[in-house]
Amino acid sequence: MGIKAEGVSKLYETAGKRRQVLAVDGIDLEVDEGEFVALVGPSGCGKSTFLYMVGGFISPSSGRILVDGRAVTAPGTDRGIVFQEFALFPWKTVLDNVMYGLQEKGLRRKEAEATARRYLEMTNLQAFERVYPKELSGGMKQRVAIARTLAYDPKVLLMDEPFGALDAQTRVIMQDELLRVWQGTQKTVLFVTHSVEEAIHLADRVVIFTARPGRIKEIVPVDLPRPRSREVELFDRRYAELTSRIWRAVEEEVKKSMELRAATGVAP
Amino acid sequence: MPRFLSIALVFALWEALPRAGILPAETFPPFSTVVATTSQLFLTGEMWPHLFSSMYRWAVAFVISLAFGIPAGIAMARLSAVRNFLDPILTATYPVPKAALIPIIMLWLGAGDLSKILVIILGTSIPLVISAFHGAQGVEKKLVWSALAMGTDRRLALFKVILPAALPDILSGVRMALSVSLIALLGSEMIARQSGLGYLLFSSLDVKAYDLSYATMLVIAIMGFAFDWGFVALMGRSLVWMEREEGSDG
Amino acid sequence: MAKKLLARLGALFWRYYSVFLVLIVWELVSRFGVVRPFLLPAFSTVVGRTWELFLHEDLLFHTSTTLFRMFAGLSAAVVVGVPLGIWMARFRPARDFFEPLIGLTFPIPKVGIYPAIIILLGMAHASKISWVFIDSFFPIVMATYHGAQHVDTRLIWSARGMGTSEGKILRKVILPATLPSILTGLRLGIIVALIVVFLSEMIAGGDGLGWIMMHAARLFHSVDMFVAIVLISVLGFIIDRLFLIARRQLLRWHAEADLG
Ligand SMILES: Nc1ncnc2c1ncn2[C@@H]1O[C@H](COP(=O)(O)OP(=O)(O)OP(=O)(O)O)[C@@H](O)[C@H]1O
Ligand SMILES: [Mg+2]
Repeated sequence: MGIKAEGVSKLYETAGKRRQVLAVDGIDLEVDEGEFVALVGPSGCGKSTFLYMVGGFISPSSGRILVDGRAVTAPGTDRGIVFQEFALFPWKTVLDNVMYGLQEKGLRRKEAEATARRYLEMTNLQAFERVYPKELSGGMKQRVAIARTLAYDPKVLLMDEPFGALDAQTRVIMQDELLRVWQGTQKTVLFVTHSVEEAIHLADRVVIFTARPGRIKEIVPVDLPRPRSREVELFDRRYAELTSRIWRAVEEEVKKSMELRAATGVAP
Repeated sequence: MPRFLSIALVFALWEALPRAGILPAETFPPFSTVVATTSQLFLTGEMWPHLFSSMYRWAVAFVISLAFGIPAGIAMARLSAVRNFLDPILTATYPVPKAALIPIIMLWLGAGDLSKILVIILGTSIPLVISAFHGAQGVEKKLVWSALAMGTDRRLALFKVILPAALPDILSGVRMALSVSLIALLGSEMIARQSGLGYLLFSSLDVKAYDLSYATMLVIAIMGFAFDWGFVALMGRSLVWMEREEGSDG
Repeated sequence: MAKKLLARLGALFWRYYSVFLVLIVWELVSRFGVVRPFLLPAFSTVVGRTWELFLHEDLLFHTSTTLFRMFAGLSAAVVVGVPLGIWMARFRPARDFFEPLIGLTFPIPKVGIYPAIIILLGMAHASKISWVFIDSFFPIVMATYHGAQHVDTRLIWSARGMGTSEGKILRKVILPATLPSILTGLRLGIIVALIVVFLSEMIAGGDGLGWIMMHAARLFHSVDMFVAIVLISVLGFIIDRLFLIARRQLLRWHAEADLG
């Protein structure tokens, strides 16, 4: 399932149209089936907003988004999302959270349970399946959210800083697990991150957003061979060049967005 | 300090002060006397019809309030037309004592059960509407989105996401409604005096049958306590998932 | 200038359109005899009658009597409830003593023990004020206790670290941090006090707005019944609004200040 964005813009209107925020502006982007694309850019530049439009939760103010050739009008089980804020159901245990999508698919409880347990094992949460989300740390909640989305096996993965709350070690493990799942299932992945290293380690291409309103500043192909070993990356010259190229581009936009904030006095 | 010292102290004083003659025993009978009169009233059967007619009015009104108040609150949160209509009315009538309406409703509908039930509904549904409204409005949008992404039908999301997420607020509204319903029940019964605990309470006072008044007070106190205790026992379990609240005001 | 004012009035009208709609329907239904004016006197009739009673009868006296009782009971509830709530939160033995007591007495409908208060204190001011006090005491003490218990300990630590003396911590840290809760409890207390003062006057009459209601009901003077209900409603609304304005002033630092 490929994704295609054609001139997508989003204007947020709040408080009776008194405050308008142009979050993203004229995004053209094509993601092939089975491709892994990372989105980077300064905070508040509209990365989440773009993801929500692909998910069909909000609709573009102009332009359109096609998934598998059909225009997106509503959320669908073909596109799974991991929210930056986790959005776990607080009234369900960890296991029931992960089972939710499977049961909505029509799986019987036994089957759903078995599948859910597999993904809880993968995210190293098997000991916590009976626990409610309130008892989990931020990193654990994030892993539950990832397990919940992977478990029902959507063709497209929309991931909004999915490893942002994880410690460095867990992060590395989860990155490799994600790559394993991705390579085994040929999913299309849109992956938002603030970490340039992460983007380069995971993605086929890195899309750099400008400061708000978010436009595409540059698309950088990562033509490093897979599997990418971290040891090699450390010494590989191509890797170092890519990193500094993307770094500089993002830094430029971060500075712009800080100037913008200072000038308008509003938080992003 | 033993945990129930204060409660023991209260009952001890209630027993001792009239017995020692510090308070006049005929207008302030000791605890044991009140208990004895109360059980006497139950044994002779005098108390039962009043208890039953009160409970009947209360139960009918409370069920109707639940059936109307909670959906109305959720509708307010989800549909702006309903919100724009009801919100100002609720804001304007929130501080109005509903019990004050008792005589007017009796003027319209007579002094029978219908008026009393309506008064209880008026008082009880407002905390229910307000709490269901706040609860449903505060539901994190992304919870609904998550469910939709996983294939939940838009209409069913109301039951699968919004209702459970709003439950803590709704239940605290129910608890408040319980206490309001008792005030409205007793208030209406003592103004249109025919039967029920509110009737017994004040008609006995009028004829200076103080032992009967105190017995009724004890029954009402136990009832209020039982309601609250029953609520906590029933509902406490269904909310184990709730975050321990950090702040305290809402 | 005039145009701006007109626009603001218009916005206000649209925001509260349903309230005006109810009042207009009320007026018309009665004026055109859809229901008998005896059962529902027109809104304008009620307003006119209220004015008349203020001018020629002692409605002012009854209104002020009701307000006096309400505020007397409410002030007592604040004076007792706030310190007690804070004391319970900061001092273990106080908590152990009072918490079970409050837990036991809170769910009891206080109207159910009003006869005992009447028997002990008579039918005049004292019993009514006591009932207002008892009923509004509970929301205030419980909210204060709850709020003071949840004051962030780090606030106290940092105040101590900056050299605030133990005695001043209460006034400089705990009280301000508890204020939002206290005010939430107070708002509930105000509403309860209004209900209770009116009910007490209906039950043990003699004077006050509640008595006017019962007196008019006995004489089947329906207009005066509506005078009483409209007056208590308007008073309740005004007091609540004034309270909300005051709260906003007091809590300008608080994130939720502009919510109510
Ligand atoms: N519902 C909304 N109403 C109004 N403005 C919004 C809304 N959601 C987001 N915005 C604004 O749109 C802009 C883009 O927000 P978005 O969350 O998409 O950014 P982001 O790139 O995901 O940022 P971050 O990296 O911090 O997560 C921000 O300026 C934000 O304030
Ligand atoms: Mg974001």
